[in-house]
Amino acid sequence: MTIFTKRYYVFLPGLGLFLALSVLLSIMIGPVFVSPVSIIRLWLEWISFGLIPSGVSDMQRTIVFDIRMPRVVLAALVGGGLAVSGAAMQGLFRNPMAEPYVLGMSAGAAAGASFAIVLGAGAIFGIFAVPALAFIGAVVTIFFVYSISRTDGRVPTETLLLSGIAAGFFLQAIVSFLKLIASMETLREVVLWLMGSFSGATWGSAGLASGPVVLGTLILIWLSYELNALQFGDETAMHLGMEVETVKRIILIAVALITAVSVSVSGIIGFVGLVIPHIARLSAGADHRIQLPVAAFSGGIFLVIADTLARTINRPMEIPIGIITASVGAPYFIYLLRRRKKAISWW
Amino acid sequence: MGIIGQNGAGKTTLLKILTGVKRPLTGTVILDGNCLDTLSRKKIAAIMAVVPQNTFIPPLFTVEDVVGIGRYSRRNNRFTESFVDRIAIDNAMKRTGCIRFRDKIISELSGGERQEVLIARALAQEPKVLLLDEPTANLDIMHQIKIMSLVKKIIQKSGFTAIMVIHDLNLAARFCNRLLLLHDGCMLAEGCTAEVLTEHNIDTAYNVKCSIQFNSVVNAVQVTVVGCTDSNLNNCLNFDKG
Amino acid sequence: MHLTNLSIKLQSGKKQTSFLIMLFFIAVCLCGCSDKRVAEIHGITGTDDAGRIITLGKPAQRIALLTGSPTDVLFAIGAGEKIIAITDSYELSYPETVRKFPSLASLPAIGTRTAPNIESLIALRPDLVLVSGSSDNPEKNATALKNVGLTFAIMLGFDNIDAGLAQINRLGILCGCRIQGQTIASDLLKKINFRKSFVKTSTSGKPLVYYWWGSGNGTYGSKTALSELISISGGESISDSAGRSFFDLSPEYVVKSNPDIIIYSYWQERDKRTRIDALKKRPGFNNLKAIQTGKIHGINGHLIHSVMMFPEAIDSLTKWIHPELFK
Repeated sequence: MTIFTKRYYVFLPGLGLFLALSVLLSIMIGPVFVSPVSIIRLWLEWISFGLIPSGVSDMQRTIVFDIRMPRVVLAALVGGGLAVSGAAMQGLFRNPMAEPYVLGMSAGAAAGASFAIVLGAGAIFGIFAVPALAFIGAVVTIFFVYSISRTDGRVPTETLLLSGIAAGFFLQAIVSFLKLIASMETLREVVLWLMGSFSGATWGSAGLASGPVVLGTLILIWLSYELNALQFGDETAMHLGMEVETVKRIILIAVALITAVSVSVSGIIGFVGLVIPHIARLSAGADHRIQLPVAAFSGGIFLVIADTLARTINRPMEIPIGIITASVGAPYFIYLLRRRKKAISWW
Repeated sequence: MGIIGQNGAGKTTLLKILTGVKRPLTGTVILDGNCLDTLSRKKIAAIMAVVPQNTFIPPLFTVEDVVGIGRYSRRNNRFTESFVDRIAIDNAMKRTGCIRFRDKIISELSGGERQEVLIARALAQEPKVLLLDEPTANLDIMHQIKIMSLVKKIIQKSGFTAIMVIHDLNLAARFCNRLLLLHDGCMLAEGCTAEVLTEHNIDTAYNVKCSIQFNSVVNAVQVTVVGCTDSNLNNCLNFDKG
Repeated sequence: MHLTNLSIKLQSGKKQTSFLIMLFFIAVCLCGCSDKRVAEIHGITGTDDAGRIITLGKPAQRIALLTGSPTDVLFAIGAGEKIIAITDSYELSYPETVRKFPSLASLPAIGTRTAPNIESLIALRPDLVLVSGSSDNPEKNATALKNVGLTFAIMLGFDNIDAGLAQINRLGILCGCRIQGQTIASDLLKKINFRKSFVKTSTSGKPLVYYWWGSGNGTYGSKTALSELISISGGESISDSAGRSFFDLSPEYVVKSNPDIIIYSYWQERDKRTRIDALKKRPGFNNLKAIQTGKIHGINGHLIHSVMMFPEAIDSLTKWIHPELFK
């Protein structure tokens, strides 16, 4: 099962290049027109520490550097992270419907954020209240789900899945209740947060997110061989020589890290974690060692494109990114499904 | 060594304890001089390989993929295949004969062929002990003989030990050197084949009357089942009489 | 219809049936006329914001509110005491209104705008329910009321001041306070027009104003009363170009427009500090003229949503947009 055949030599770096290109192109597109030439001049000025002046207005510089760039970078990070997490979850649970939120983390984050918004935590804890509580909500949820699924030192995947679903229901009920007692204004705020957006991205939030997301992604890619072995079942994996429980724990921690950080900076963006892994598997094969990196790049490309559409389709209005991901991604996915039905149920 | 006994006698449980999947209530398992629970899974896998029943393998993997994953405990580099790995995989496939369909997908194989692949995977692990769980279950008679002969040949050539849970007494009699007869969670008899397979033992363990004869064609004792000794069952069978 | 013509037609037998038919129609007309007459003498015929005609036997005495907005209008025209029920979380959503009219706090709650509690509602025997709707689907929250036969009037969000004043007149008619309604409306119009001409005396052009809803990217576009208020106060809202009501405005566009003044709204005092902080921290905003010069102002949400408060709103807005007028 060697992966370094010529095909992959071309495929992966090609995909990486495509990601870089989408990032660069996305920075050039936006509701306010900034000419590509000006943008390149701005970059040159930046790289040369000001030695090559760009002659571009401050307003345009602000738009490119302070608004667009962190946003695109964050979209690429979150897209890649969620896609890789989704692939890992599908491999871990041996289930094509698994995705990063399946253990209740999105519901936990939603509950945390709703709590913060509806009960006015912002007035007490400042502007970081919402992302912080969303993060805490997500992390506490997965920790709780893991703990209650533990029997006899082992955590069977079926139990995990069911506990996660149950926890998700409970937390959704909390969110619904909070929505009910909310004032009209906070209700709107909650609904918008839940739909997800990269609009508030700053270099601060992008920088903060990059560490955990990149780290988590690298851990998962490193464990992709373990994911291969896990496809044969927990017991067989044990016989093959894997410390199954330890591996499961590390995978879940990495997924939790990526997902919790992603939802806290950009809200709940669905679809990426579920469908991009399938697209990666359909195009690159079921070997996780190749599927995960492909998913990472594809997820990044997908969210960068989706975000670009979200901010330009109806300019100067912004559309929540969740709408774009679902309406663009779903038809493409259905098309792919019809062409290669068998590959979806690889297990 | 073959482990035989009725369903529910504890064969699978014993196998699980031997491989470290289940913890024994009392006592310890000693592998190669070490207690099983002190060894890491990788170390265990380096000594012991398990061939499960062929009931489920992910259908889209190729034969080569499946055999290759057997190298999990031995690989140095997880992303590339070393020369050593390549040789081990090819050898394993050659010895079991599945090299002839190495690129086929699992879903395209028959039960017997899948069993070969699983044995090849175990061999790729380069173990000293092979544990097999009912390798002949669900196989037709041709494949049954094929698999049993294969295992016998492997043991003879490589000096492995094989411990096999098997339900077919005659195959066990023919291919196993030693037998372990389980009954009700306890060891009823242990020893070489002729010692264990007595009419009395089989009556106790299986509740059947049998006749044991030596068959010179296959050079082993063969068990022919005559009828049940279970009074309940006899009553059922005689139902229409009275 | 002259009786002489009728008597001539009576002579031909063939035309007896047509005469009977004519009689029948006359009777029906008279009946209809008499109903209307009764209503005109004792009852009320009014319209709601969606143009529906509402007939009440007498002026509304028991009004249930399934919408937040026209509450202080009702109080202003003297119908405040007639309110018998309000929506859930009313005090949370409209703290200013409850502060001004504390009697509201003790009223029973009968569900949310979109999901009214019909049982509680019926038990309170309202004769008029004010229900909210949207312009593309006015009756969306009214189906449950229709099914139980409650009389309701649809209140739409008004997108300009005239519509708001028209609403006052309509409510006046429905509550039997037509004169008071007209007086209040024309009074408000006078006040607004006075301020309008006052602002017109300014010679310092029209500063660019960015209205921020307080979180995310929310703003109000040209199809809102706020846009008109800003315009009356001598400013130009950068959200006008999109021709919409409430929408998310791209921050890039805000940076490009570089507004002179930023106005955000709040409903709870405690949110002001957080919102100013959040505003300054929005990506790309720290170089905005308005931020640099500190021209950030918070306006109470109540002022820009309730027609009664519009003169006050214009006062605040003008002070911020054309401070030189007050020197």
